[in-house]
Amino acid sequence: MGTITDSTLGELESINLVEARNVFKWFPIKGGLFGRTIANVRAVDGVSISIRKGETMGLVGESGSGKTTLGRTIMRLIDPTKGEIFFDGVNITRLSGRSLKRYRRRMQMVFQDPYASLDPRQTVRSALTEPMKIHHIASSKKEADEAAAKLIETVGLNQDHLERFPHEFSGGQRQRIAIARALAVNPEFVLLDEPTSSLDVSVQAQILNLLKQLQRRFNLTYLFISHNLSVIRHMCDRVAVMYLGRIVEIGNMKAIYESPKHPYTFALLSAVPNPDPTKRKEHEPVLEGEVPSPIDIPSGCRFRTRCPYNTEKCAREFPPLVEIEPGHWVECHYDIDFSSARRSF
Amino acid sequence: MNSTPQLTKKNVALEVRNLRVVFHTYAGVVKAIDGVNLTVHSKELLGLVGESGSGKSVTALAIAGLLPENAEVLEGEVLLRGKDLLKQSKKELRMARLTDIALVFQDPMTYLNPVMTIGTQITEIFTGNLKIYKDELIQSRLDQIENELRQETDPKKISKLNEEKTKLEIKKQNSSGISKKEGKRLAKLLAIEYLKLVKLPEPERVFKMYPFELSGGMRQRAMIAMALVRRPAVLLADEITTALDVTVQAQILKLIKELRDKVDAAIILITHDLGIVAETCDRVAVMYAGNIVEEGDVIEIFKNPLHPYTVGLFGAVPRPDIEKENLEPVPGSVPDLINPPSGCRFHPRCPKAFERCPKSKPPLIEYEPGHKVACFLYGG
Repeated sequence: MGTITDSTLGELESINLVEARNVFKWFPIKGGLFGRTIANVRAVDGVSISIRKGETMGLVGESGSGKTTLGRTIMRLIDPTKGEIFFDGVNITRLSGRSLKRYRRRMQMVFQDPYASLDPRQTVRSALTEPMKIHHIASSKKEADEAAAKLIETVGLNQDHLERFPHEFSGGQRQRIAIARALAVNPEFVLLDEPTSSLDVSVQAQILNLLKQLQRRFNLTYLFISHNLSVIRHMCDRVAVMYLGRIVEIGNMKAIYESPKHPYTFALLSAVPNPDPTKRKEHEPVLEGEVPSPIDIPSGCRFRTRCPYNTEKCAREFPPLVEIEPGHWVECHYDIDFSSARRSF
Repeated sequence: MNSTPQLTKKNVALEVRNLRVVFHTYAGVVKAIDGVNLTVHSKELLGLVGESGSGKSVTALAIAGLLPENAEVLEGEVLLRGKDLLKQSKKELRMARLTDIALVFQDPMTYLNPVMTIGTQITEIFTGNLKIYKDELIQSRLDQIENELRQETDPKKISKLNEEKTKLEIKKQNSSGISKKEGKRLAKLLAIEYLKLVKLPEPERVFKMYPFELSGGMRQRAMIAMALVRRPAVLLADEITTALDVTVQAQILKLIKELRDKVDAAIILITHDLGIVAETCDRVAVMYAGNIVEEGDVIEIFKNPLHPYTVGLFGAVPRPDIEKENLEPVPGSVPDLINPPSGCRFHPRCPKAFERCPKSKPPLIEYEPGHKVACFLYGG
């Protein structure tokens, strides 16, 4: 394993568990007679984000904003086009094979659809013990079985469930199994990609509570990807808002929800239906239109085509990333006061 | 805030009485709907909420007469304009769907024909049924002409419009139908009017476009236009914003609210999202495992939920506006409807269940004026 010589990286190690620096992920579109690259889908377009040990970082955005691509790039499931990824202070961007496998154990993932992410022909026992074998967590079969039995109870199922196949479980139970499988190798970092989006609300609450409880118990660090702003508010310490491949605002959960600074964040929050009918106002949805194509990204500020505050400057110049308050960063030319604007909550 | 329409008997658009539907499957008989009673009034937005498997979509399909082959209606009535839709012939039902009941689904791409333009798909409704729609097509064009005449200043155009008006009035009196060509022309004008109503940008251009050329939100708007153009008495909107992003969802919900005031239809909004209900609906019916467990005015139910399941749902949902330390999930999961729990179907998950609950099914009773609940805690 690479030793750390850079002193700044040593410092990083103590605070940030995961860090992405100026990461790009472009998917080329091939075409023409010779299959040349004729355009790029700029799914992630220059993102820097750091996730501290033990915190839950939320990643919100609409479909096509690049949340999942960013998550997978951080996990090294796909290679970034440009940029660097650090895990526990070590640059893992160019690691491969055996040296990468060490880090694979430390970072695990739970996917959205528990119907697709579990092998239908694998028993729960096998799903839980196989990763232990691969990463040499258990020294014997007996030890692995014991660990699996413990694990299945940790996620709220019981040992009878170990011999069953995924089709015998409900969606919520399957997601518990997927979580158990992620925890089988004692990871430090777990990427949760829309883990409750396919579940019913009453079951969603069970899974969210379980995730919180597991985080405390095993001192886990989460990157929580979701389009559901209520879930993000409930789960996260810090929140990053993505739009068309860039993080446009990042900060503490409270700051983002109570005093958003980017017009997109504000619009997103205004679009969420208010669950209190007495507070129902005739508030206008702030945003017109839909997210532009990531192939043909607007010049300057990429949000300007939908932004109610856009000026000529927005089309001309790329907005600077400004630290409005300590730890609260916004990528916008202007400091807009939203206090008079109407919001749904 | 929108005022709630008067819940008087006189403007009832649709009434469902004691509907029971089962599905015959290889695994057994799924008792999907177990005695649903529902009333909607015109110009009312009724929310039908529930989790998956609660029977909200099956209720909608039963109302529209679109249940799949393996479904069987054991008993019940779906009353529309005084007629029981469940007792009508296929032909009559088709007619009801053509003129009285419209549906919009979650995924517009599945329901739009990919090889026909939006315009053709809308006008087809009229051109294929010219006899039925003759009067309506002529009348809507006459209304349009009136409007245009009021704004027009160019004398040439005014005389042209007047000429068209007299021609149409003659046709209106005439008992014979209108020609295909004329029908097509009138249908196009009406379709574009409705594309404008659902706020599609450049309606003339959208008219000529194919579904794949539209974005998700635009497709859903086109579907809504297609549903409304027939002036239905009831519009069933089944999870119409679930596949959309929040910002687009907000636009569509705003549109639905505006339409409620513009068209005469009763709108049944089927959703699993309590936020959407709070934001848009006048009344709400909460479904659980094939039953309506609570029903009433939205503000009242959100303020004072009675049924333990409704209470449980509110406790389980994270809120965008308030920080909750802990969510209180409803324990267990939705029951298997092949072998549903006896008595009250919620009792195995209910924190307040007592000896009476597994024995018999609680009826939906009016606990307070305009607030119904099906739970033995409140009598019945």
